[in-house]
Amino acid sequence: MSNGFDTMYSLWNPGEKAEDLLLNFHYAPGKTYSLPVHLDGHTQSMIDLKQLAMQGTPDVHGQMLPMTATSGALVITGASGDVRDTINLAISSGIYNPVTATCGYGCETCNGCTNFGVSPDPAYIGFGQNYQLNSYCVWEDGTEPDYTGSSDWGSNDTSIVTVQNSPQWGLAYGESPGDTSCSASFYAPANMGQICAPLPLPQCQNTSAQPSSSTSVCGSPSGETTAFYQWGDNDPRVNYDAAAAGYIQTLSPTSSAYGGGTVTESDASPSTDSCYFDGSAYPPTGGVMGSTWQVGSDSRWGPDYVGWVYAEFAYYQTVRPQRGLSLPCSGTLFQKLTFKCPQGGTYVYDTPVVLQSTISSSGITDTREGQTVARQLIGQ
Amino acid sequence: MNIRASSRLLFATCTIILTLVAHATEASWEGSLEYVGSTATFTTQATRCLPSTVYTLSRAFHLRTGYEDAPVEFAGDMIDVTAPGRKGLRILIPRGGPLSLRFEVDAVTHKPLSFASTLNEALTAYRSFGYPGSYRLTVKDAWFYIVPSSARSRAGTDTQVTPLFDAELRPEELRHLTLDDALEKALSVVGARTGNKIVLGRRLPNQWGTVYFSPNSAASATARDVIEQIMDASGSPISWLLLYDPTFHYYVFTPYLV
Repeated sequence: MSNGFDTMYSLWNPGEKAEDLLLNFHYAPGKTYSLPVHLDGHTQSMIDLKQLAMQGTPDVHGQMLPMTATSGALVITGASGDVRDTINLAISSGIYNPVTATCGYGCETCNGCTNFGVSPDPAYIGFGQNYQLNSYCVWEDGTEPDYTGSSDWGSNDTSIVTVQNSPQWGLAYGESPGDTSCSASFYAPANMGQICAPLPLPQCQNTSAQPSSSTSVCGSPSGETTAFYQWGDNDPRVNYDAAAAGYIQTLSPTSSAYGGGTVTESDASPSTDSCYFDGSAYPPTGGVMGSTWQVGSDSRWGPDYVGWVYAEFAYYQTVRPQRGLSLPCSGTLFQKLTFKCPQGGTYVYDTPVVLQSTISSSGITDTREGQTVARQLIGQ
Repeated sequence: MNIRASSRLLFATCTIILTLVAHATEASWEGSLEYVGSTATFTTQATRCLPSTVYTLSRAFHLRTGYEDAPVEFAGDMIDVTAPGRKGLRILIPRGGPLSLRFEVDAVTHKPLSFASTLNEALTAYRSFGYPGSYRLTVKDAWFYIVPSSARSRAGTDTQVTPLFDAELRPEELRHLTLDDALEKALSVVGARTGNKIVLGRRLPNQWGTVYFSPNSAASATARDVIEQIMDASGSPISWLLLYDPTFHYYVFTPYLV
């Protein structure tokens, strides 16, 4: 929405049943505008982004779409926002510039379940014990939503293991010693997870405003660069992450396309936490928590936040000196990263990424891959 | 006389060195496990020995646990660890100390024959050491919950305790929220209903901000059950601790990977 450009979406409900939708416009890293739309059977609706921004139409969270948004992606889900809820919808999009009399088109795909599985596999269940199995599905975009509660569970040999379908789906019970297989099945609607056929192109000139395709072929990165993006929050009283710094990474070489892939972290070398003292209400850092990020069409992923939650930062900054312990103190974590292509194939980073956060009497210093930022902060 | 004086001076020097070493070496949070045949021995030196035990065993055996501290109100159940000579804020921690227990394991896999029995052994050992508060174990689904049943009041009398996460929530209040927002709101609602402050002690995985919470049922449920639903929906093998801080009188909710 700059230099005279506008983007419009035409939504059509081809079915008899009414559809309640949530349109999620991702217009900047970590920024989403979520607009609810109701479509009765066989009706259509037109969404004009510039009009939404100019009118200041609030979304479900009371947020406005800024006029400064220039690029991004639209993800449509059911009204609950749960990606597992199926929807029946046809969509076309257009990018227009009345000033230069040019237009372009968008690229739409269906996202859905492609690879259904059960975890853990194998599972070891103690005799006379319960054990929770989970089912999941890897989607086109690399995410793995949980299907445990909507799967039909069974056991090949119920004399060895039984698996519940209700009230606790996937809960296995070891009846007697032995080996057997457990299964989960899930009904996937037709066309789910398939890339839709592209819509006919409009008969008009394509312009440089056309967004890049989200079905590009994925490459294997040789590395990445990292750059500070933003602090978690500017007001410690509003949120819990004022002492955490967010970093955005760009996969390289930049000539390759990684869009639609995912980056997942796991714990590498043992973490260290010199801020912890015996009796603290904050257990020492136990390693990274296993985040997953989507890689954008610009080969960027993040933000990856490094740092303490604000309450823990404030606790150690206040308590350690009173306790007779020194500041600064630090937490260091080692993050093993794995890049996954949407078409399959994984690439594990050669060396773990070092994340460090240091609490001093005057503030916080956070570091990711040697990129260090600091801010003055006095815990309250 | 001269020789005696030297001896006394040397003795004093040694004492100082030992004191410095004791201050520099904090007891480790995690306990240790040793296996001999089908017997495992667990030992922790952490002052918060019961949550240390639950945390270590939960991670060692990859089992989901939720641990809730009893409130610490009686002065005799706290230790003042403020540095000598410091004025102002007193730094208090719950009274505790070493804890050890033995339990039966499979001689090959080293998995406990019964995790519930192992945790009950830990509770029995904790009581036998005379540490503050008493706790009980409840098992629901694939989760093992250790919740407080009694603690000493400010006046020092044994008092029955209602666990914080027994507070009821309407899961529908959390619908349309992402998992991280749902968890924060659940903690905030429980805090408001019980008159306590509960803070989140650790950043949550990134994808918790992209997955929406979908309650299993519209019926009211305990905060513990709702948090279990949120954790299960995340698809991540996560356990949690709720620890009380007597210095600032608040609870810290810490999720951790198992």
